[in-house]
Order: sequence, then C-alpha cells, then structure tokens
Amino acid sequence: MVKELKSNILYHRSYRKLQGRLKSFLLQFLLFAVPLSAITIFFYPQITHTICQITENILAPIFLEGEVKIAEIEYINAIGNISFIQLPSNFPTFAFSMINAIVCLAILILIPYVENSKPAVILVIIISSIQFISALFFLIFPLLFPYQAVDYSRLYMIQQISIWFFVPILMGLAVLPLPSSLESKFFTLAITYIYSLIFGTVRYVVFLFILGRISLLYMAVLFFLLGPLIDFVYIVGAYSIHVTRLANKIKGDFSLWKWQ
Amino acid sequence: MEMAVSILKAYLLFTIAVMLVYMFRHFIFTLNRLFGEQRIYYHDIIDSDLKTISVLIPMHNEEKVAACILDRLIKADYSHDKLEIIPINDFSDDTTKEILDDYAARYPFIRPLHRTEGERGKPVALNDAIDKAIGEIIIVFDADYLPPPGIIKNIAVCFNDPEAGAVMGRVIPVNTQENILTRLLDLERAGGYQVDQQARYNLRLIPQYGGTVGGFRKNLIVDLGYFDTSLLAEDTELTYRFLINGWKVLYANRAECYEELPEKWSVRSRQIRRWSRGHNGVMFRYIISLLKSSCLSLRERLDGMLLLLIYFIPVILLTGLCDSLILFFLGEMEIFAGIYFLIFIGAYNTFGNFAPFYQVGTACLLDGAPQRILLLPCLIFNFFFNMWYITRGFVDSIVDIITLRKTNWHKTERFRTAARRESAS
Amino acid sequence: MMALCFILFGLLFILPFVPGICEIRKKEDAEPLFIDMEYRKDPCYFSRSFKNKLTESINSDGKLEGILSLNLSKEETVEIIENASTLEQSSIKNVCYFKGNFNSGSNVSFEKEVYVRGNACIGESNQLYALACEGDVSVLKGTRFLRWIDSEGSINVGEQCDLGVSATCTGSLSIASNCSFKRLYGFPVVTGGASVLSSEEKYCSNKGEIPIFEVRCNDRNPLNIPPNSCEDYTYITSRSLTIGDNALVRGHVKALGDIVTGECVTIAGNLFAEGDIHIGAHSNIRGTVFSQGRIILDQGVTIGSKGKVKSVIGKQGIILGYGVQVFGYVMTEGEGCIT
Repeated sequence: MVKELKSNILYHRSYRKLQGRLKSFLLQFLLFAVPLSAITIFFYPQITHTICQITENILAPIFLEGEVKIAEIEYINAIGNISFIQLPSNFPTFAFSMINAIVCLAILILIPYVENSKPAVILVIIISSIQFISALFFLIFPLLFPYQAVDYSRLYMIQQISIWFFVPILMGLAVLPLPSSLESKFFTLAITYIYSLIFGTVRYVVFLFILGRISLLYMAVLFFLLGPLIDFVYIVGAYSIHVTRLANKIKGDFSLWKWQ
Repeated sequence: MEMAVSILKAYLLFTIAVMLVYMFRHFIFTLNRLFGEQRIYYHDIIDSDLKTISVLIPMHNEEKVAACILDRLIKADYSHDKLEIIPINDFSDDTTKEILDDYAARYPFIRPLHRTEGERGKPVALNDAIDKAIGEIIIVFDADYLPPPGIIKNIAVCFNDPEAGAVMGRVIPVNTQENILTRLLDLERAGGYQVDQQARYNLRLIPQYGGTVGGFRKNLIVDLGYFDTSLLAEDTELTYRFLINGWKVLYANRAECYEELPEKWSVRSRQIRRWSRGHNGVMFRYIISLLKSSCLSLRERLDGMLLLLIYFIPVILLTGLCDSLILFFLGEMEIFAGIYFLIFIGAYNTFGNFAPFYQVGTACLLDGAPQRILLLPCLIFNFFFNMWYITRGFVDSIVDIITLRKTNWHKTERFRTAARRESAS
Repeated sequence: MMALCFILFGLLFILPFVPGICEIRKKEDAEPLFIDMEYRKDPCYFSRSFKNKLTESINSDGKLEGILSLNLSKEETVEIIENASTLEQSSIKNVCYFKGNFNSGSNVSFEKEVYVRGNACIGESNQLYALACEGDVSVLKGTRFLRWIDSEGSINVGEQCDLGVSATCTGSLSIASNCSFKRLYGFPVVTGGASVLSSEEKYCSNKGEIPIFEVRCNDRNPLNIPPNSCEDYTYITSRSLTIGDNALVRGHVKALGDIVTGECVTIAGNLFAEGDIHIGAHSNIRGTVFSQGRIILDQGVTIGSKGKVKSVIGKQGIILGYGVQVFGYVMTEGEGCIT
C-alpha cells in the first residue's frame, strides 16, 4: 500500500508507456493467430466448397438450368482443390458501354464545378475514371477483354484464401501485444475471421450476380475498389472497437502504466 | 509487349516493396512508442541562465486570432528581460496592424514588424524578423496557436544541449468538435506526434521541425543563409539543412500547444497540396546531400530519406494503382490473386493518412482518449483525398523545377469565431 | 433472395463505420485533449499546491484552532496544534497544522500532510506522508517520507532516510549517507551532512566565472580529452568520452555514449550524455548535467555555482558520493541514492 501510494504520482501522457512482454506475445500469436490461419490453410477445400454451394443455391434460380455449377482447380496438392462457381458472363453491348462511358465522362467533367474537394467527390472521380476506362475498353477493344466471369470467380476464390489467411495475422500483430484480456483478444480475432468469411461469401454472390447478370463492364471497379481494399474496413473496425474498450478500461488503471 | 508487361509487373513489385518498408517502419515506431524505452526531453531541466528569446508570429490578416496569441504570450513564464515578441504583420489589409500597435504601446517587449514592401510570404517575413531579432533563440508560432505559459521555457531549455539546432513541440488541435474533418485530422495529428515523432526521437532518427511550436538557434540560421524563400516547406528545409550541417532536431512531446485545424475540405485540400509541393521541393533538393552527409549515422540517413519521401509515397501509390489497372486490362489478373498483392493492399491501406491505423489507435490509447478511436475506419476516406491532393502537389513541385516557377505563399484560412476567441483568451 | 444479398452486403460494408458514425453524432470524445494552460515547471509544485489549498480553506473557515473539517482536494480533518509536541510511537491520521515549532519523537507515523509554521525536528524512524515547513527542518535517522518534504528554510537529513518523491527548500538541503531520493532542490543540495557546507576548501583551483566557447572541436568524434589540458571548445562525440584528470574544458560536452571524467576536472558548460555519466572526485561542472542513463558523482563534486540554478538529471538513476554539492535541482526517475 505504501509503495503504491509513493509511485502513484501520475505523470504526463507524453512519456507513459505499457509493459511489453515479447514471450507472452509470441505465445499468444501461436495460440490465437496461427490456428485461425491454419484453419484456412488446412480446410480451404471444405470452406470454398461450402461457399460455392451457398452461392449456387442463390444464383441457380436466376440463371438458366445448368449454367451455374461448381468447378475445382488444384491449389496445394497435399490439401486439396479450391472450389469455385462457373457461370456465364453478361458481355456488355455497344450501347451499354457507350451509355456508361458518357455518364462517367459527364461526371468527370461536371463534378469540378459542383464541389470538388470532398473525399466523397474524390472517390466518385476515381470510380468514374476506372469505369470510364473500362467502358472505353469495351467500346474500342471489346473482343480483347481478357476475362470471363468464371475467371473472376476462380481468381476471387484464390484471393479470398489469401485474405482469410492474412486477416488473423494482421489482427494478431495489431491486437495481441496490447494488455487486454486473453478472452477479448481471442474474441476479436475470431469475430474478425468469421466476419471475413461471411463478408467474402456475400460479396462473392453479389459480384458474380453483377458480372453474370448485369455486365462484365463492372469487373474493374468491383475488383479495384470493392475488392481486398474494403476488407481492411472491417479489420480496422474490429481493431478500433477492441482498442476503444481497452482504452476505457486502462484509463484509470495506474498499475499498468510505466513512465520512461 | 512482353517487355512492357514485365516492366509493369516490376513496377508493381517495386510499389509493394516500398509500401512494405513504410508499413514495417510505422509498425516499429508503434511498438517502440508503446513498449520501448522513452527518450526523455529536457523539460525537467531548471537553469537560471536563460537564453534570450525572440518569438516570431507571422501574421497576414489575422485580426480574428492576433489578440488571443498575444494575450497568451504576455503570460509566458519567462523573464520579460530575456523575451521579445515580434508579430510580423505581413501585408495585412485588415485591422491586424492596429491590434499589434495597441499591444506594442502597452508592452515594451512586443515589437511588431510591419511589412509593406518587398516579397510577401512566411519565409520572407521570418527572414526579415530574424534580422531584427535580438534573441539567441528564435521560437515561431503560427498566429492561430494558443501557447500555455510554460511552453517558452520548455522549448528554450533544449538549447542547453550543444548539439540541438532546432526543436519541435507537440501540436494539439483545439477545434476538434467542429465537423468530421477536424475529428479525422485530430486523429492524424495524434498518430503523427504522440507516436511517430516521439518514436523517431526515441530511436535517434529524424524528428522533424514543423515550423511552429518550435524554435531554432538564431546564429545557426543566419550562418546557414536564412530561410529559403523559394520553397514552400521552409520548416522541412530547415530540418534537413541543419541535419546535414551536423545539428540535431529534437522533439519535445511535453511542449504541447493548441492549434486550429482547417474546417473545410477545400481549405484542407489547398493546405495539403501546398505541403506536398513544398516537401517534395525539399526532397529534390536534399535527397542526395542527405545520403552523402558524413554528419549523420547510416540509420539517420535512411530514416531521413524515408521521411523526405513521405509526400512522394502517395504518388507511387497512385501510379501503382494505375499500373495495376493496366495490368488488369492486359489480362494479368493472376498477379492480383497472390499473397503479395494482398500485402500491397494491406500495406497501402495501413500506410494511409501518414499515420496508419495502429499508430493512431496507439496514440489515442496513450492520450487516454478512447472513443475517438472508433473513427478509425472513416480514415479510409481521408486516404483517397490525401492521395489525390498530394499527387497534385507533387506535380506542382515538378512544374516548379522545370519552369523555375516562383512559389506564392498562401496562408491557411482561419475559422475562429468570436465565441471561441473569448474562451481562448 | 438476391435483393437480400445486396442488402446484406451493404450492411456488412457499412457496419464497421457505425460505431464511428455514432461517436460523430454523440460527440462523447470530441473535446480537444486537455492541456494544462497554467502548467509551469515548478520543483515545489506539490507543497505549493498543498499550502495554497490549506491556506485558502483555513481563511474561508475563519478560525485557526481545534479540529477543522476542510475541503482540500477532498474533505479532510485538520488538527490545529499550538506548539511543539513530542509524540512517541503514535499514528496520526489527520492533517496536522502546527502554529509554532514542532518536534516529533521516534517511530511516529503521520498518514496525512503536516504543515509547520515554525521549525520542525522529525525524530528517528518516523514515517510521514508529506511535510511543509516555513522554517528549518531537521530529519533524524531512518525517517521516511512517502510523498514530499518542503521547507522555506533549510533541511538537514540524517542517515538512512527516504525522501520520497520530492525534497525541496529555498536554503541548503544537506543529506547524510545512505539516503534515497527522486527529486532534490536546494541551494545547495549537499551530501555528507551539514558539516560539508561549512568547509570552503576545494581541491581544485578553478574559481570565478569561466567563459564558455561554443565553437565545436575540429575532431568530430573525439574519444578522450587528455589530462591537464585546457580546451576552448565544445565537444560533441557519437561515442563515449573520457576526460583526464585536471582537464579544463571551457565549453559544453555531449556524448552519445558514456562520459567519464577523472578527478579535478572543470567543465564550464553543460554535460549531456545518452549513456551514463561518471564525474570524478572534486570535479566542478558549472552547467547542467543530463543523462539518459545513470549519473554518478564522486566525492567532492560540485555542480553549478553560487547564485545560479543548475540541474542534474539522470533518467535511470543518480548516485551521489560524499561531499557533493549541487546548486539547484537533482532529479531521477530511477533510484537516487547517497553513498
């Protein structure tokens, strides 16, 4: 009690820090992050197959019979194949590409006159630019477009495996060194991983629908702006909730803070 | 064609490598600030041999804020015998002159400098004031700042260190409540100062002098030729000029001062474009001499280089994205399916906004400001915004070099209302 | 079903933003970070703050006798005591206000602050939370301060005392051997007991003002300064530096490594090191001594000079030998001790 009182002069935030424990972090990383990544590596055949079954069930009624089916490709021989959905593409017509190009061009020309410096506007400019380039490509070199929806489907699934492998590692590096409880750390990692699985699945269904039913024209935008980039939104979101709770908890817990 | 594709792929890999370097660097800084040994600044030194100080405050049409900062500096905990305050009225056409003259009449240590002839702009104004200043140490505040009474001593004390050429304090936004822009910028500032600058100071790398809430030796800047008026980022230029001449820039995390953030996106866009233009101008000028400097250790040179390139990285990112787009339309989508592309996405996402999400989160944790951490996902919008305007600033700097264009200095618009002026006083 | 998927996709995308959007609307944490706009570096901060609160509360209460209930940082019981009392083996739970002098016996424990208008003599093996005294203070052997001790006169501390977080006075602060501290402030702070103060003899002959040369030495990374030399430079090295016996350096010294001086070294300026600093016996450093590591001052070292305030700051620890004099401030966040 006496020692606590003595050291209980609360110094300024400018030099305070936390106690780091490297061994504890490494152990937690091995116990929490690595197993979640390992689930991806060792069970990707089952995971991808389940996702494809869900997708097939949702998309099959929308397409003609037999158009939507599950295919497989080799990945890691010792573990198994990746499943993905085969489906037809909706190739854009000339008119559709032209309309898209005109709309995007109009946006690019007119937007500086409206309000040109807000982030939403910058985002609209970037989306419109990519979409405009895509539309131009389909107008000028329609037969040279190198992908079908099935190509996207296959590569999406491969990419998702990388995301599911990577998410626990990134979250682990960001969250595990912090002095939060083991339960909350594991919960954060697990929830983020599950969120990633669900989000990846829903996005898969939606994007395949867009490419197969609406138009292949949107592939570039879907890939570049709504692809892996937005996975980091929920990663950062989960991190922020975890750290907010930790910050609220340790704000008044002086025993955790060190100075110098 | 194959050659072109190879070059494009190589550039993408180069972009990934650069992003990874910065991601790694910021992660190291975060861990160092959170767990590492903190290198303390000199704020605890008590020394009766006070150096003479000249506080310079550049002002152009600052009638909204001039009185506030002068009221604060009058209360400074520093002997008035050793202190002079030089507000620099730089071609103002509002009531700034009258306000300054009124203060000069009441306080003999306030000696305004009214500039009505010659070139306009902060660096030129500072040079004129440095000539007039009698202090050994020059401390600069922007006009919208609110310095606490102890900050002059806090900044001045570091010059007991014979290696200290300049010092930078911590800037804390005061108008955080205004809108989402100010809240996001507040996060950026927290990450940048509480974690990034302090970690660079801990690791004996390169903290940066930011041009305000900081000071430098007068004789040093006079010997080295004053501020370079051809560059917009005179603060960055001073940092590097000092470094390559064997002087250090210190960071004082304890020397905190309130500042005002831009409250409109249009103002912020001009600000960040100007910073990019200035910083990249300094980069072109100093990168070679920095790498060749014998006054710096290897890691100082490497970190100095990474710091110089900080406003070039969004340009690399944007060109990397364009490169990816070209590869995409060339049918090279396989490249994007691999783990390395994911690392690229991760790296550039975490890098965004000059303070990656884990740096900002750590800063808010250390500051004891929990709820604002929830705004982290919103920083993604700032990311595109910054990338866009920083790239434009970079293009401006290239045009400056090619055309030898004269830089015109523009001051950031102020937003302080009468009510906030009263509470600030 | 597809519509549901689109909605779910939108929701999953927007969900991470929701807590942030709520915070933007509720503004729970929208205030700027707090900066104490009255902050000034004050070594006597604790005692000044306590004395101000106590005086204000007593003044507003009106009377100065008996037992008062005053609002200091919180409600406290304050005993007003007329004059010196000798208490043996007691435990006092209230804040004590002594209107005159005060003598405590041995093994007395004061759980709250003690304020003495006159002189104070603290007996052996006492334990005090904090002491503020307007007169001189004498602390006998084995006493422990949990927080701070402050005097408007002088303080004389016996052996094996623990001076808490801060020991400050406007006069001399003399401390016997085997005492521990964090912060000291006195004119001077002197170790080895009050008898050291009276001795004006110095081994080294350098007295009076010494000019400081700020021109840097041509040798960019010197390793040592020879004994008996007289150097009119400021030394900055990225390595460790050794300064030989009887050297006179009329400049500042900074090293990224350690600094070790021999005996009777005089340095006119400041001494800064990223590593440890070890000052040899009877040396005289006229400026401030600052180390990110530890500082060891051997017997008879003098830091600063009369009429000036200088500092000795060792982040990781400070060891003061016998007969050390520091004119001003001594501070460490590690362990400070007197051998």
